[in-house]
Amino acid sequence: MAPVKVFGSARFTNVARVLVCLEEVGVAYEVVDIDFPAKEHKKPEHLARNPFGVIPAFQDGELMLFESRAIAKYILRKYRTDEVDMLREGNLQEAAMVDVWTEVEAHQYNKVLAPIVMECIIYPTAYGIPTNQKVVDESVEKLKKVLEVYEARLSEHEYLAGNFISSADLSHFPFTCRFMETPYASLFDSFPSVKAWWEKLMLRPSMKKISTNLHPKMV
Amino acid sequence: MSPVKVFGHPMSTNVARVLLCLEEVGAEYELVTVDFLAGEHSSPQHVQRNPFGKIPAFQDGELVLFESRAIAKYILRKYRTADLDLLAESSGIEESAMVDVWTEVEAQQYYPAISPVVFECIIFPVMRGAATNQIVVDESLDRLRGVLGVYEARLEKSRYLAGDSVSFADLNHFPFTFYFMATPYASLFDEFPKVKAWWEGLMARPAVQRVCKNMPTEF
Repeated sequence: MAPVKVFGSARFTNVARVLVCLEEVGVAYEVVDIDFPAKEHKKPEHLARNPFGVIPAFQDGELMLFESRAIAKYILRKYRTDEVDMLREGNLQEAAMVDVWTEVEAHQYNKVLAPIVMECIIYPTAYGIPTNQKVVDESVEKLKKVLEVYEARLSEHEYLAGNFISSADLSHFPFTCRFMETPYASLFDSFPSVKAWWEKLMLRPSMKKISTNLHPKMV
Repeated sequence: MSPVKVFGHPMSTNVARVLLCLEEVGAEYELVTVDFLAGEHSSPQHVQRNPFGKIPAFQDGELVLFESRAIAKYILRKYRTADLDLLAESSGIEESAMVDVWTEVEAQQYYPAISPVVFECIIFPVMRGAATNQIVVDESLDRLRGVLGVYEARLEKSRYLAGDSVSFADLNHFPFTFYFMATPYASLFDEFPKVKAWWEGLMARPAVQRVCKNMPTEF
């Protein structure tokens, strides 16, 4: 069986979201870089994979997918085993809790954390755009409120969806990993259960491996 | 079996998302009004159900959920039949992946482009008495035009977004598109005939019609 293909460099957070899932299920994959400076992402060959001209795109045999969270679900569903069941679709209530905290990551957490990563790391290093401190300061205040909710949740449950690891936890990995490179990483010190959860996630072989590719300089 | 409960307000886009799914599957439900204009979403009672203090929240017996897309998926799974599988989870892994892809597209591409127009033209003026920020509207319309171009190409090849059958992916577009059609910019859809026909098809669905009844078009 040919390895699945992920289009887009492992340096990028949304690509990393997919790679972590592949590592967790232990499936062979190939990463195909897309040359941004050469505008490869806007050329017909890539647009045929991802009509929005962004990364990642994903190929499994004849099937072509895009949107990192959709790709992640496909991988976790297709390659699910009794040991590695990150979606819990066999149990209505557990699947619902996975969905709740996956949506929380997308709409509550990432919304306030990603701007800090973009302003402190991505814009300055990749685009030469200076940090907008106002955006950062506002986002930090909003992130504190979000982390209060996470603290309450993780003081009662080992992982976000319950006492089992799930795609909801994995989904937090890429942007949080980059956040820890910003001057605001110490924010997590005020939320001990959240910090413990994050440190436990980072011990996972999948996260250790993929985090080595997420480094500051995006050329 | 007691009816499930939705906590929110029928005017709310995210509440409408959930109500539409309940109507599509024909589930018995009770809508418990949370008066968000009066700040009731921040009350301790509501925060117990939705720790982010937002609407909707949802209850089925002992199970309490929040995040409208997670609630919607729970409903569609619970009430799924052989003839009504809006997540396509029993159709096959490729079919369900396409539903996930276009559900993510709504959240990550469509919603960021269309929602600022709705917020600026309707929600902010109604809720805060704020004036419309025309720059935001114009930038969003440009972005939306690009997104609708991708949708037009997709709907040339596919009857619905995820394939030949209507799915959760299509339904997700209802709430914000409904309100967009009440702004001065509805005619944008005239530039995209396949998209317009798809939208009109959705609006003709009996379940959509029932939900629309409680959503104002005049402000």
